[in-house]
Amino acid sequence: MALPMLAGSADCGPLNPLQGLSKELDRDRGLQQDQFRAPRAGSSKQAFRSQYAAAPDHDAARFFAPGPAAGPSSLGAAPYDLSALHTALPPLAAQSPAQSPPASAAAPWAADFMQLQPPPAQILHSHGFRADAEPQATQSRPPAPLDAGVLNSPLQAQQWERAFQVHEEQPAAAVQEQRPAARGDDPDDLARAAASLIDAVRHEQNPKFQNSAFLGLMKQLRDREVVIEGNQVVPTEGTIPVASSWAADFQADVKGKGRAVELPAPPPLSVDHHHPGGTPEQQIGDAPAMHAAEEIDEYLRQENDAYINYWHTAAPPQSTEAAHGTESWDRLQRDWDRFEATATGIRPMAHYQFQANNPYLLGETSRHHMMHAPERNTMYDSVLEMEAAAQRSPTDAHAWFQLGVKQQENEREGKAVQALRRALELEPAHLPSWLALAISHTNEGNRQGACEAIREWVGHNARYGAAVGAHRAQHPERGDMGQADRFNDTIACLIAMARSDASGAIDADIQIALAVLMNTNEEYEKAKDCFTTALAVRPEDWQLYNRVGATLANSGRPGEALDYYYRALELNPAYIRARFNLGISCINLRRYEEASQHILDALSLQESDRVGDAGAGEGGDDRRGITSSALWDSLKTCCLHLGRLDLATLCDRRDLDAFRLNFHLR
Amino acid sequence: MNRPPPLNFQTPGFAHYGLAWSPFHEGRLATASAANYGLVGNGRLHLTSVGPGPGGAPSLVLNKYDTQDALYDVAWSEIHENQLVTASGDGSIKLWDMMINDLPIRAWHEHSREAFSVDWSNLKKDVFISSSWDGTVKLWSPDRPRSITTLQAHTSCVYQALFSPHQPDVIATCSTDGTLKIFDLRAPAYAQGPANNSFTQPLSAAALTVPASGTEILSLDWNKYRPFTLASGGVDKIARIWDCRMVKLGAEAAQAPGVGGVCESQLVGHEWAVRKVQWCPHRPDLLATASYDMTCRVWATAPAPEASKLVYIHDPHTEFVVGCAWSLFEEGVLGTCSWDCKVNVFRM
Repeated sequence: MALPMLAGSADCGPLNPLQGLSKELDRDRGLQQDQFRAPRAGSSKQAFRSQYAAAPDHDAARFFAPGPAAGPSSLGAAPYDLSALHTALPPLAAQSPAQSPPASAAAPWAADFMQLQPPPAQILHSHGFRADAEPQATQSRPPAPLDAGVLNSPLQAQQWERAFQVHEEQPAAAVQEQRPAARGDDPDDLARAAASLIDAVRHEQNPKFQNSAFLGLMKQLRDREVVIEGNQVVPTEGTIPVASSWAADFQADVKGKGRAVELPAPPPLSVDHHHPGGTPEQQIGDAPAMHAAEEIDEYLRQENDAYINYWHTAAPPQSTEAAHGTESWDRLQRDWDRFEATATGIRPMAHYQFQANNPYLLGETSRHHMMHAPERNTMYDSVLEMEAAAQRSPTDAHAWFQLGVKQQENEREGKAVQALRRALELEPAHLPSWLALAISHTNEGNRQGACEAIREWVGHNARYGAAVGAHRAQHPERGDMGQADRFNDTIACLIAMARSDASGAIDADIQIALAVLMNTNEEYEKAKDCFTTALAVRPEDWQLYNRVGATLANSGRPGEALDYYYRALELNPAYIRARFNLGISCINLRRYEEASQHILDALSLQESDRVGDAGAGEGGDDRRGITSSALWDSLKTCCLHLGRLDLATLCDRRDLDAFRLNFHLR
Repeated sequence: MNRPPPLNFQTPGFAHYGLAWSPFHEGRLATASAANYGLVGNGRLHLTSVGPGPGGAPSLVLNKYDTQDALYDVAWSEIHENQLVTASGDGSIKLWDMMINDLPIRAWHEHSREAFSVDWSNLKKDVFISSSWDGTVKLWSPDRPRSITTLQAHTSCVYQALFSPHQPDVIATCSTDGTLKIFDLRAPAYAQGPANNSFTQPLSAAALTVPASGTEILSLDWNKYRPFTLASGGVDKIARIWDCRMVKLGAEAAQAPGVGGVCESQLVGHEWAVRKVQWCPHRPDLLATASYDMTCRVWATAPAPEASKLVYIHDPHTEFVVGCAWSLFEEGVLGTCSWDCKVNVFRM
């Protein structure tokens, strides 16, 4: 239990809502820029990049490329960047999702067409989700990348359409018609950001958060009840094409399906068909009279009209249908939210992400698992085994509890909380789960959560029913009790429970519960006493040794903490949390070399407990989820102190193998 | 006790981002604010002065200055009692004079992204600095049309930059990258090293880099009594006190930029990120912190044995508390500002 040292671990979500948000937006944008900067740099050279060579857009690219075709110069009043256009082309011909490029494909489109237009009335500011009326001089601020599925969305279609309209220099009115729709993706981004913010404060029970006007606004933004219009936040009118990200995905999906069937010839493809050879009729009719460029113009215009007609005829029915779908999905989403708020069910289950390809899931219960009593001896079991057990019997609270405790030991607080919550849904009176949950909340710095979990533990504890009843009779619970009152009441109640045992035997659990509360209140001396009392009854409990150590470390005595960590590791060498805590104490003692070794060990242990051959492509991401960022951050700090900038960079990359290779090199 | 705080006032529709007490007049308070929580829209600078009115009852005078973009920070001039400088969302820095209504008397626009903090030197009273999300810190003088110096301090957002109260040319910065840095303006140099440098925007060399946290550091402050003792606060919810006396200044700094900083103590208790830290100007061991958990807390950094570090919690705000400032004239009086559009002044 590393208590507050870990309060900032990324496992428990973005901590500062705004920072979390801005980070998110920043990341999105970075990604996007990377992806369209590259093609822009070497447009003509990259027009024939091998990866696209086989794709049907190849010809389109050649058509657009400067050179013999002389297309652009004769066509375009608008000198827009064709390379970006080019990168966006392939998915249109190859509709299968597997082939469609990553999310960014939509973005360069949007970005480039935005540049053609006068600056849109409002553009999302990348950082801190500020929207800003003035275009920024140094950067063109592209709208956010859309989901991969959105390629076929109306937005995309309209951009296509607009592109061709601009091309033909049609009256501006037609273009302006499209503007409101094109704007749609900025609010989309904002809504997503707002949703992530709401998600971050999901478990916050402080009534101030529930009453917060700012968070209310975020909810409205998420639900599209308000949007940002110019310099104002305004309520939306009844019809919004894209009502929520859920709905957007859904809608995109519908379009995708429809289009895969219906769309016979998207423009670039047909241009490609017509241009080099020309269709027979056209050649007969026009070829002699027309200049090559005019011919192209003519084809384009025709194709364009066809295309626009297609969307005018095909799209409206679909979009109303989609709007219906959107509404119902939207309602569903809202219901879902409400559901999550009222009944603590379902969601955590959905949230716990099992590792894929778990080998322990094959066949029957592993022999190893059966050899162990279900009770305590989980030391050598891996998380994978625990996950398999929970997956095999998803309604077994005990399996979930053990999984949760194991995740705690493995320094993955977020997953631990999810598993424990699941256990408690299944069996609300499972006492050890409440206690474990209180500890997790303490580690997350969630004081209120910890206190509530202990209160639940007290409430469900049948053995001390009488003592608790007597205490409640004396100190009735009031609804208006403040946080501090509830806290003190709980402590008093626990003390009453401990005293009620006439035999004088020590109940370690009560001591642990007391210690957890003392810890959250920073009364470390008392907390330590409670833990050591519990140790007297459970001398073999490695978790208790670690907790005493962490308590000492938190009260500014890292030197004394070391012995307790060592003892915990003697009892359970694979105890990642104790190893990490040991590392942190070493940092505080300025023994950086030692610290980095301990943290490296902890990371190696964490990593060893994953599916070995997880999908090769996702290997990197997969690993990121497995090793926790708190460990990497601490390791980076050590490296900076040691003056090993090279290693610190590897920490940023989360590259464990490279780190191990370089660690002993000087 | 000549005048009784507490005092509250509201600025409806404008969520606060920062506040500052005048160093010249007791009871003058400036607040930087933004419409729509800084999402979009205008900013406003509020000036409040509280004084004994007729009959001894406190009277409140409010002045406001509107801007095109959100205001993120404000600092009073140390040389001219009526002037202050603001940092705004469009990256511009504006100088205001209380005697002149409506428009700033000077404006500079060099930062390419949001300017997030300004600080006026109280040793060399003719300069101030600003920090921005573009990663730079700029040194300005009110008399010059352009910035005097630009430090490429970090590669990511610089949330705050502050002059040392003890050494005229020393500044500290904190950033998204989780570090505190101390720079000596007298010995400008570029950081060495292959990885983190680019030709167009070479990173300035810091005299000392403190790897303070794995997450973003949102705020810092110099202790007013103990040289090179700093406080930091950030996304990890913890405020930390750093002893940075190992820093080497001047020519030495350029030779061997250091990494270090000893964490003297950690102040744990905030439930969300710490947005602002400020040392008490009257005592060396008292620190105020404002947090996204909607509280402002005061800590004793060197408490008596067995005593709690937490001294005081100010809880009335109903939105994120984003700023706090100790009165310079009256000991123990603290002002806080928040997104609930209220400024609270109270005696702890």
